[in-house]
Amino acid sequence: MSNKQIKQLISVIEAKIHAARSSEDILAAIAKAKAFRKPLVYDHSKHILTIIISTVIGVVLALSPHISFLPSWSEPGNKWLLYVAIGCFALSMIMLTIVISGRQKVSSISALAYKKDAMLDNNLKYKAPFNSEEMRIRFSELNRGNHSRHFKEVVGGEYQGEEHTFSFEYYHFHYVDKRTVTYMQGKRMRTKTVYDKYDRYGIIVPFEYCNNLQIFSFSPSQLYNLKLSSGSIAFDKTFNIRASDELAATKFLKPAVVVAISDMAGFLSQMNIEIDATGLMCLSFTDRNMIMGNQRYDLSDPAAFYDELAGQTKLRKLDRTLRFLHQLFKHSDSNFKEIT
Amino acid sequence: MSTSSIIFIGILVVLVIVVVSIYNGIVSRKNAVERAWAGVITQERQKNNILPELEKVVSEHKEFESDILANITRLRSKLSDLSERQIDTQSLGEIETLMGKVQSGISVTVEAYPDLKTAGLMNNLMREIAEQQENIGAAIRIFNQNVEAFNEGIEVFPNNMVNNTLNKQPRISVFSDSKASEGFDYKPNF
Repeated sequence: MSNKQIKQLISVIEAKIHAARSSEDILAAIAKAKAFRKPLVYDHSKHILTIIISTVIGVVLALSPHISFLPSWSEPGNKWLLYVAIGCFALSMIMLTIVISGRQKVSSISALAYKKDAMLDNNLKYKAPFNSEEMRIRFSELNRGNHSRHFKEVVGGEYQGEEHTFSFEYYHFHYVDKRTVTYMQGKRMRTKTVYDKYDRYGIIVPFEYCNNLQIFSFSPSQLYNLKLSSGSIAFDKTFNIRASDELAATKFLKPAVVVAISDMAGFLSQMNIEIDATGLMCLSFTDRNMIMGNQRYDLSDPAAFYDELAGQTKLRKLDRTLRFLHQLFKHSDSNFKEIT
Repeated sequence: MSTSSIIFIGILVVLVIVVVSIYNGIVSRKNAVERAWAGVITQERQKNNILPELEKVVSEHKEFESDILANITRLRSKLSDLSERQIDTQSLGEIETLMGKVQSGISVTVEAYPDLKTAGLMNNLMREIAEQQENIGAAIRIFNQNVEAFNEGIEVFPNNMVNNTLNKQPRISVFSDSKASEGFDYKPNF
């Protein structure tokens, strides 16, 4: 099969994956690659040969002033040799870009198929991104970025635990900080604007048992006035606690909750917990792979990739995090009331 | 004032700051240990909220063995002996052993007579006991972690010099589950 036909097949698979509504639809798309009976990779042998030849020619011509038997580009009238060398390097770069983009395309479609299948297997659905202004007011965790902030992705789902069932929303939050840097250029002082881009992720759940509480290891911009201690030296080394109501916060921070949060800090990086005034909890962190699973194969090995997708995809990191949230529910509810 | 005098005073000031911060560190870790112990006692005393209900349920159902009731009574008496001011890991161990007996006695009976579990109060009580025990376990873990930090804080150099001279605090024993450690032969040699 020619590269043109592979390109067409990849386009068909990509369209089918985008349109997929079930795991079966995704498997049907991957089955097309499987029926191809060869790794779905472009034949780049000609491009690689071109890269090697043009790079060698380019290097030889560039070094011609140091090679005795070649005319040197540094001599009058031989400047064209230098232009040929530059042309060879440019050709190598173009070919290299074609090779890399071809491989990236296969890899990105595979990642898309895997993520979509994982979401379908775990009953997760894309939702409309949150209003960043509204969320900035609700949570100081989301009041970040002096230049811009927005939600790149919001995924909704439901967790069914032994004692509680709750809906949750997983988000990917992107924010940009703008700052001015002064530097010396020669003897002149110059300034330039630098944009620092950051990403944070999180899970939002309704949590009726507490409000106005911040437990953070990565400081948010605004803090409640009351500073509390958990009673655990290890916990207090990692986290700061701020609240507006000491009694409610102490009631929430039972020893089992303190230990669960401490343990979770070893699992999630730069972890923060914030409960707003209305009882909405935001658990945030910097781990980006929560709904990506552990993909082992891609379309370069269609048969193995098909088998991988045919099984139930487990999102272990998400599951562990939701179990932790369930623990918070379990230790905050009353055992002598109707269980929700 | 000569340069050497300034250097001498500077070193002296730094030394005083170091000693004061070590002294205060030991004091604050000791306070954290006491607070963690108070946390353990508070969690233990939560049992007082459910023991009367448990006593009532056990006495109402003939399926439960009589020693469960006896253990609950002993447990209530032991709980009243616990003090927030005095760290007493031995009494805590006895209470935990008694609670373990009560919990396993109830579980065995409920397994033998599943109808008991369908009684709403029994189910809720069992869940409450499980959560309380989880909280006690967590409070003990926090206590042990704080004790570990305190002991390390008085033993490392130069903290040991400050402690021996000024704080004069002894090591604190961590709480260990003697019943669990009976299960294996290995004994650490420290």
